[in-house]
Parts: sequence; C-alpha cells; structure tokens
Amino acid sequence: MNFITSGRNGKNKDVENHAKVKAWAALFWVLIWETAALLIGQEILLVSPVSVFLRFFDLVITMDFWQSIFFSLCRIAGGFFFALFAGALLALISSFSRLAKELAAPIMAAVKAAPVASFIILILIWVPSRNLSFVIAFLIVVPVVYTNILHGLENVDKGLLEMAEVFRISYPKRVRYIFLPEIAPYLRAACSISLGLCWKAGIAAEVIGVPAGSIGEKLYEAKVYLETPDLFAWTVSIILLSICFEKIFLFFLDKAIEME
Amino acid sequence: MDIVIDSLSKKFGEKEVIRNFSARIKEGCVFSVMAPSGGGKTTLLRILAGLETADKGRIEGLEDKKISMVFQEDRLCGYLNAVDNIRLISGKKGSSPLEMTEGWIYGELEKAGLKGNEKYPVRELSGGMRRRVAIVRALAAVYDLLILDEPFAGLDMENKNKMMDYIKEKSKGKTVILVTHDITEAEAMGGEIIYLK
Repeated sequence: MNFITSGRNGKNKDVENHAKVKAWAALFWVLIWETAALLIGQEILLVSPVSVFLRFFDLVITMDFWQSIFFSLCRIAGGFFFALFAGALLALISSFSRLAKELAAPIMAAVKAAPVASFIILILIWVPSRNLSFVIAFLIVVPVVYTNILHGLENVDKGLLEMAEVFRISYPKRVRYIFLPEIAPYLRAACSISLGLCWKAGIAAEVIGVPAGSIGEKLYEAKVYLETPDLFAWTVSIILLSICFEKIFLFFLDKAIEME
Repeated sequence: MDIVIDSLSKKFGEKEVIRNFSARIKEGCVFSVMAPSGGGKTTLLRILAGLETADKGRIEGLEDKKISMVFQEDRLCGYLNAVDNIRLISGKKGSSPLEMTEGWIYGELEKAGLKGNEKYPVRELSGGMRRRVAIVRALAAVYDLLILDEPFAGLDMENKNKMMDYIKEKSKGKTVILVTHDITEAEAMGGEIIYLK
C-alpha cells in the first residue's frame, strides 16, 4: 500500500473532488436499502434506514450515548494526535540521519503490512483494554504520517536550500518559507488518509477488547443481542463522528497552512 | 583583498570538470569567466560560493566575504511574490541593507521593469520576469562578492541591456564574477575576461 498521495502541487485535491459524495447518489443507495429491507421483511437480517434513523435519534438523547462517544473520541483522537507528533518527529530525525531512517524502515514496513487484528490481539496482552484504541490508532497513523512527511522533507527543493545558505537566511525563516510550504501538502494528505483509518482501526480494537463504556462495547452488545437497529445506529454514529472529526481537523489545518 | 585561486581541481566521479585552474580576481573589479557548456563554469562558482568543495587547490581572500549570487536557475519561492522573495533575504544582521523597506523594494523592482508585477506569486510571472526578480534580490543583499551565473539567460535584448546597466550601477566598487558563454555580455560588463579550458 502506498501511503504517499500528494505532491508539491497538492494533487490530493483532485482525488478529493473525484471522491465527493453527491446527495442524489446517497439518496439512491438509501432507497435501494429501504427497498431491500422491505423485500426481506426481517429487521434482524436487514434493518430499514427509517428504523436506523429512529433508533439513532433515540440513542442521541441518552447520556450513555454521549459518554461512549466521549470515551472513544478521547482515545482515538489522542492516539491520532500523539501519532502525528511522533511520526513528524521521527520523519524529521530520519531526514537528517540515514541510520535513523534505516532503523525506522523495517518497523514502519512491519506496522504497515501486519493485519490490524493481529496488532489488536497482541497489544491486548500488554495494554489494558481501556487504552487499546489509543495504541491502535497511534500505530495505524504513525507510518502514514512518517512516510508522507519524510517524503515531503526529502523533496524540499535543494536549490532553495542552497539559496538560503548563500543569502544567510535565518533557520526559522528557512523552516517557515522553504520547509513548511513543501511539507504542507504531504502533511494534509497524511492526515486526510489516517483520520479515516484511525477510526476504523480504533473501533475494531474496541470491539475486540470490549472496554467498558466505549462505542466498541456498544457495537459488541448489539451483535451479541442481535440488535441490528442498534448496530446500524452506532455505525452511523461512528461514520458521522469520523467525518466531523476529519472535517474540523482539516479545516483548522488548512487555516494554519493558509496563514503560513 | 583580491581573491586568489590556485591550482583548483574538481572531479565528479571520473570526470574532471576543473583541472589546475588558477586566477587572481582583483577586488572591486568585474571578472568574467567563459567556457563552453559543461566546461566547469558553474562548478567553479559553486566552489567560490561554498556550495561545493574542491578536490585540490586553494582559494585565498574569500574569508569573511559576504557573497550574493544569481544562480543559473532563479531559485525563487514560487508561491511568494517578488517583494516577499526579496524580503526573505532580509532580517539577519548584515544580510540586507538597512534601507530595505517595502517602498525601497518597489523602487528596485520598478528599475528592473517589473512595476505592476510586484504582488503576483513569482510562479505566475514569465521566465524573464523571474530572472529579473532574482537579479534584484541578489543586488538587494549586503555583499562583498557578487556571483552571476549566466544572469541574462532568457532575457530579451532590451531587458538584458537594462539589467546590465542595473547590475553595473548597483555593484559599483564590488567584486563581481560573471559566468557566461556570450562574449558580448562579458565585454559589456567590462573587466577581465578569462577562458576556462
């Protein structure tokens, strides 16, 4: 899997435009879903979208729902931010040190290639289930951020760096005007990909670890008691949460890049 | 203080691009270096600018000299406008003249025929315009030695003459090393001309 999706020209925007969800297309698939649910006629097998949304609104007004959201959000977002910092720092070190880059390469390759389920089970041995989603989100995001930022750093225009050397431009100015604009598209692409991934992996970890009070626990219970509307309603919640988190984070990231 | 280059040699792999090159560059004079393409001109300038190290030989008189340079490529930050590209080299003590205010930069850009283009990102400017911004930037710096690596490449005759006059006016009394393969440019800039073999 190639995690590097953006170049200096911000080509990721094209990819995003292609992937934009049109309302009519979404509505079309909801209608297909509703028709299929009506045809099957058994909520336990396929719940109708109307039931899902009714159940979703039932859940939203409960305190338990928000407590579960808060529990999972704190851990998954925490893992993401910690990975963002660690991945960027590691990439910076690797861009200066060949030894660090060579040492990091097998670890990053292993983390990228290993199945998430294997990691979840393995880490469950070492880490209490309460913090499992934090660690898994961290592990999923680190290689993406590391690979992209390292690629960005390695692609910084050497000519501009030489120009900065000749004109004795200060180091803070070099970082602000030469490094950051080059890295920004890579960082944005890394965040855009990893935000979705960390939610998927984090929730999967909670479903396996079943920490009390998490979204994963609610999904697990819905599965055990065959509460299909609950399962779908929680899935809708996770999707909305993931999208909102991604949009808000990328909004602030874009603002920060624009200000630079 | 004159710059003395003594028996300078530089190899890239098996290819020797400079072999036993010696020269004396008089302080405050223009020194033009001519050579065919691949003749080691840019390598010589890079060594003088401290961007490459020579394999053999020595250079005296460069110590404590502040260098400014027009590179063979423009080496401008494409997303920044002309004013900000020039302002980028300011700030550090002794790296820019005290008078480098925005108004002063506007004035310099006007002299280079860039009036009205000051606020466009330089990537939106034509090649010739970017070249002139790079020249203005080099001459806006505080320097003792000005290195010009084919500075007029891509300029039409009118702008070439305008920039020659601009460089001559702004670098008066400073040591200038010009690399070109156009004898008319070397002659127009005045000073000593040598051929790198």
